[in-house]
Amino acid sequence: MNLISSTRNTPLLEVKNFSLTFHSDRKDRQEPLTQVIRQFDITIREGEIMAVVGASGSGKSLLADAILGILPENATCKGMLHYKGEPLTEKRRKHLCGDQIMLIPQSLNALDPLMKTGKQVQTVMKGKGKKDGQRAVFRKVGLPDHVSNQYPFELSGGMARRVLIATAMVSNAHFIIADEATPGIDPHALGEMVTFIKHLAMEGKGVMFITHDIETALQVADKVAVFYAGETVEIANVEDFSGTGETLRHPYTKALWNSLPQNGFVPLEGHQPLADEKGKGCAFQPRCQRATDICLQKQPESRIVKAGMVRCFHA
Amino acid sequence: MSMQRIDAYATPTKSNRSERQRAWTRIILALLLLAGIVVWALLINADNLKVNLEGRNTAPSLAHLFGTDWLGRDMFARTLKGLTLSLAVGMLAALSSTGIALFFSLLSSWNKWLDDMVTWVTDLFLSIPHIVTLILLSVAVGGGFKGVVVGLALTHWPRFTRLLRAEVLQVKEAEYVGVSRQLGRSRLWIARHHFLPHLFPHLLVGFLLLLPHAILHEAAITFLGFGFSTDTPAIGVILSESMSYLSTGLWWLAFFPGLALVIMVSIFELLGRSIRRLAETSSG
Amino acid sequence: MLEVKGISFRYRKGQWLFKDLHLTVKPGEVVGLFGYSGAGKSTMAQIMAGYKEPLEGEIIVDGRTDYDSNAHPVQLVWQHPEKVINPKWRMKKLMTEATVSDPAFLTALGIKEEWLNRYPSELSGGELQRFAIARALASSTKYLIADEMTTMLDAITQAQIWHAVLKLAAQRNIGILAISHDAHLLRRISDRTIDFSGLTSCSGPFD
Repeated sequence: MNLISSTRNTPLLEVKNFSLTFHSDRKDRQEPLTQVIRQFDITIREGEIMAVVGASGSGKSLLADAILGILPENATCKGMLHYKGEPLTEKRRKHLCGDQIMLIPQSLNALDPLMKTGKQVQTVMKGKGKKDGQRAVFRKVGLPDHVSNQYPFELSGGMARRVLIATAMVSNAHFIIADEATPGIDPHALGEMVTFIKHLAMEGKGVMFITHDIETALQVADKVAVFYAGETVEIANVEDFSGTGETLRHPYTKALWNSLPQNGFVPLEGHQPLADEKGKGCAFQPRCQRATDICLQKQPESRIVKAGMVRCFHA
Repeated sequence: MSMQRIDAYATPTKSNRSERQRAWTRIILALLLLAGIVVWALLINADNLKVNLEGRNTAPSLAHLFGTDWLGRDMFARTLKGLTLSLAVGMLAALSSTGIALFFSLLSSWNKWLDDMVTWVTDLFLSIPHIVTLILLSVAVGGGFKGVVVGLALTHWPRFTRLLRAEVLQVKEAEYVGVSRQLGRSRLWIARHHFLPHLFPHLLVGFLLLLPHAILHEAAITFLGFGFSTDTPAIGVILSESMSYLSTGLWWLAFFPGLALVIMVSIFELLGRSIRRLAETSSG
Repeated sequence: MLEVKGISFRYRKGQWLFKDLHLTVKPGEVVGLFGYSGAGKSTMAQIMAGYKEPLEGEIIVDGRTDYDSNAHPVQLVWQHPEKVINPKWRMKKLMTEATVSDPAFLTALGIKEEWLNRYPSELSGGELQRFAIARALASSTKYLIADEMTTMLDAITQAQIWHAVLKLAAQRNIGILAISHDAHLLRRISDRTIDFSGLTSCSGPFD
């Protein structure tokens, strides 16, 4: 096998049977261990945008932390976590994070308050012509030239967000994690963000787009991984989200689709189980209309259905 | 670019946990030592404090660990009694100071004018040397136990008030306090339910760190002659009396009581700092 | 009727955020409001709920302008529940801060009784927002301002919460001002929708 084609086919990020557990030193908890992510599988290739969609508390942000290696010390990860075909060890992570793997954070506080924005963008660049490169990328994201001489506090929220995106664009990162990068912005600004992120993928970068907002996810991504109570219940293609969700595989994904205001706005009783409320069966079973005895007793394994992944006995 | 995030799941980390354990060990050790001093002092035979002219001025020995003084009194017994007296005075004074500081800091949250007044009074007290105010107050009240306690209580609050005031003003700006107000909750309710729980750890630590201060200052003014009368078994009295005997070679009269005082003060410092560490690493 | 009569606001000596702003919400009515980020919608919401004083104009609630020591009849629900809940309280205590109406409403919001014994750090944002809403809809509340109330929540929770809130509002004849960027959501829940820039003669700096 020739080396070049093999790296072409190797996915950027490959996660299999990944779990994340917290130890608690609280005495009033019966369970000293809390599993917040279990049996997580995902594969992201170059030029691909994978949205990870889930409610708050589903553990989706912890996933980003796990990849970046910034989990608290009382967390234990198990399973396979490969970057470009090789395990993402502590040592490799130090080498890769901030260089090949980059985070577009939710909080605008991530910008250094004491450094001019132009300089901040230049720090992630390599080689010569940094200044020209930075100017070019500012033009690309629609920031006027004088912004590079301003400090973060002088920028509006929208402009600061563009600086963060510009940083990801000029870096030679191959894999980008955007964690709730589009919270509560108006439709116009959202449209711009979507364009910029698609641009990143067109340059061959792989993007993991973490969000709670299925609508934005569908605008941005090629594939959507749906997260529920720490598990990927389904990985669907964007086209699967249509009509009343007949082509969707998992009952939760269907419910999510039909709860959108422009669809049925159909609510669902109950709530997502908290990390310590999970039973031994399927996590969605208490809210599922199609649940049977087997759903109570066993966790469904992941299966391939209609060119997508699903974790449900009845799909 | 920072890659840190505070997550709902974040709980104390491993190193944090062992640090908490160490802090707990220190706290328990300190409490045991202090309890030991008090219990021992209560059990002491009153005979040891009696004048015994045959056995006067003896150097430290097994029978008299700290030696005896010019009247033959056992210095170990006197030191222990002195320490418990210091402890009682310190507690009373620190407790009163904490109360004053708490009152002033809550007063500060009421309105701008009261806040200005509190700041002004605090600055006024801080601008005069501590020991001077202390002596003036103690003498003005008439000296003795009452003088010492009143003097200490009225001089140890300003620094603590500043700290508590900053905390209160910070919580006051919190959104959840604004919501409480809009829900029709009174200022007193907000002080009781929002401010106090927030201040509690600060009060505990502040009180414990005031104690050693109060104890040292008590000893200092007594030593200078503005505190307890000479017939009280206070550490300050012991130390000031011993001065006239130091030149005759009775070193133990000052050495052991002084050392004991320093050790007790250090124990309180340790206790206060350990509890502060515990409060800082707590996950809430 | 909740009447906003010609209010104006600016921070310090800065540019006017809005000037001479007029708006009314009738009891039992749901008004949807949209507009650009940074246009001053949230500041207006805070003025309406009594958190800030307008520099000009006034807010008249059912004919009155003073409700000093009592609970404000206009309650605001913020986008981020973490900030409006004291981190040192159990949820049980939060529910005593206001006279919470009826237990059936808590159930409809999807609040579980076991959660009452938890601290905020042990619940996720979605759960906390349910509590914040339950508290805001105390029995004295006549109008609710939902400022991006469900923006940070997933679609299912959003639908669940809005169904419960709209039902209670209809029962108690509560007027709602819903502020959101989500045009679909506003169309779904509102009796009428309005553009923020149309309310005022001068609107703040656009983003």
